Amino acid sequence: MNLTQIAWRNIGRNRRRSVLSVTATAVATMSVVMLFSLLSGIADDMASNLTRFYTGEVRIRNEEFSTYEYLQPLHLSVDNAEATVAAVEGTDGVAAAVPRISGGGAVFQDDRRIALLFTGVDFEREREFSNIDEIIAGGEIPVASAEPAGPSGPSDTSGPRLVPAVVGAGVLDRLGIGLGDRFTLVTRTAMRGSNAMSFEVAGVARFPVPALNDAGFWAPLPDVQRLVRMDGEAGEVLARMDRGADERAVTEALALSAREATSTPLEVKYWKEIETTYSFIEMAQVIYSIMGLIFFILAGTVIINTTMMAIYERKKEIGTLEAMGMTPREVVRLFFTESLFLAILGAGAGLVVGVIFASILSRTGIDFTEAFRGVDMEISPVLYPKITPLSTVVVTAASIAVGAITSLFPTTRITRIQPVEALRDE
Amino acid sequence: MKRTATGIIGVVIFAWTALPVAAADLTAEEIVERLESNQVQETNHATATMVVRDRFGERTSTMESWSKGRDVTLIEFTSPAERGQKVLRTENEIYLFYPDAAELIRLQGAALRESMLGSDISYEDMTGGKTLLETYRVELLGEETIHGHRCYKVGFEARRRNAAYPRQTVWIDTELFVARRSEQYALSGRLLKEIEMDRIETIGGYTIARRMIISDALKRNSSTEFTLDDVQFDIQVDDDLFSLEELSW
Repeated sequence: MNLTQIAWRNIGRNRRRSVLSVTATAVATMSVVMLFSLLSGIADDMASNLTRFYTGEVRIRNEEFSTYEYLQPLHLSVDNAEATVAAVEGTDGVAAAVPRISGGGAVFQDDRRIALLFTGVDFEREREFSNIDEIIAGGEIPVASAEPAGPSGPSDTSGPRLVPAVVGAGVLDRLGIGLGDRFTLVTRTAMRGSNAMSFEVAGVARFPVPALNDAGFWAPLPDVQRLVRMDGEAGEVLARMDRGADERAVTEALALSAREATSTPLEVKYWKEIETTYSFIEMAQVIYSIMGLIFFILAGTVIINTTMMAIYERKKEIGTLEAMGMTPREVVRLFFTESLFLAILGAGAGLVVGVIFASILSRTGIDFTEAFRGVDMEISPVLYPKITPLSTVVVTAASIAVGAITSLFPTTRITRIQPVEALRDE
Repeated sequence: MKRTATGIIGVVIFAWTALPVAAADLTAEEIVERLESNQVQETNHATATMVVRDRFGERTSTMESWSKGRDVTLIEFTSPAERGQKVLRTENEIYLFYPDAAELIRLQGAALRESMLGSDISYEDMTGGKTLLETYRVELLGEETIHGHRCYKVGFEARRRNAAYPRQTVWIDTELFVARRSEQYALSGRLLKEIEMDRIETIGGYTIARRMIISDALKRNSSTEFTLDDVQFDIQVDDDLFSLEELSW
């Protein structure tokens, strides 16, 4: 009988203690598998929301805009917007590009000032870029009109046209209006004056980001250009890359082609270089990795306890084995193999249960709507865990490694036991 | 000083008119009454230029205004960026008309704290209605010389919590009864705005300050300069001009 067989048989000698060790490792592994699956789901969700609704995969804007962003400096724009978008679209490795103008404004109702976020968009391009059809919950996506929103001149008594808009469902609740109703937004212009425009709710959107859902609306770019006095300009141009494209090479190529199309000094950034809450998720992954390690060490302490108890209980047996010619190194290997089996059994069970739970939740989602109320992050309120190699293979391997390694500390005690002394043990 | 800021173009363009009087041993109330009696004309019509300076540079807006009595003022912006935009101040309310909007915007409550055209003037500064002495308790704090002119230094303390500024200090020319400087404070004592008035001239029998520079103490590198380009007093102004129907015309 070799050492592996002896080790496997020994696990069954004190079933209760072995079950305890396996359960501790399984619970730790299952928890970390689910935690990491959830984190992967959050990171994916945030990446999708950021690149669809905020930054694109590459963001092109006036190089000074970010410095003064808190002042809504719309005059720091990208001129020749259409040509810039066309140049970006024509760059190798670019799948889609959109121009946008975003800013804040207010709707005044009685004595209430209701702050809203407007975005001027090219709806046709957005269908491909941000898959806006997916979030339309009612009404329709407007088509940009060639006519200006306001009267054409002093002799025009027809009054301003209502501008169709896709409005966040939460905005409608806040304004107390519905599909087909109108609202008037007052905002600052690129000339740092003010202007107002009336919008008609043509479509209702369920933006996945609470901040957008509760405050955001999208309107045709030409109308928003008129509202904020940015004729022919964009606040930013966003690009999405072909799948598998070299992000650095495409970003550099984009910068070159965009700079040829506009005279604006540009800032061209890959989305992960932009300071967003995504960096917090990356940081959280590091923190949770450390927490996961602590979980495993805690589970490992149960294995240590099991091994220690086994060593004390089987001291006489150790003495006999050594008297029969087994070297201390082989005895250590025997106990280490026992611990390894316990860790493998526990991590394996934890992995299976964790993956089953994570799979179920990845379909049903976990609703954090109440928990996220008032939280200004680009995370959807319903999150779907995602099973990844990190959350399964790496976590299981780490669980086995920690469980097995921690057992080395008590097993090294065996080498200090003399056979004669061990045989005398009662 | 709020009432001080409701002269010729609403509160936007100040007009401090004055008649020379013997001013010895006047109480604070009498000084303010004289200041106020000189601010309000039967009617007036003016054109003005507003230059807003901030960290991004300066921009200029021009406007035309009509006022009737103490509380009714209409301002129409004439500069290209805001052409056709109008502000109507009635006794208790402010209405905004924008050519690109399908409805009038009525400002009240907290909305009155919005900045007008990104300037250092809020719509709250334009609200009218009550006289200075109805709104504030006043106290004569002494006399000081401002830009070579002897002035009464008068402290104003709001009688009601909803006053635009809880406390103000105004320096009023001892001979012309026109304000030359004012400072507005929060309830905590923090300085909110400073206003300097100069280019004081007599036009049509009234003495007015043709230029005012407002600095918002809460903003860095920010000031608003109003210059009164042309002004006419006691002219025929049609009441319909101040109606809501006329505003959206």
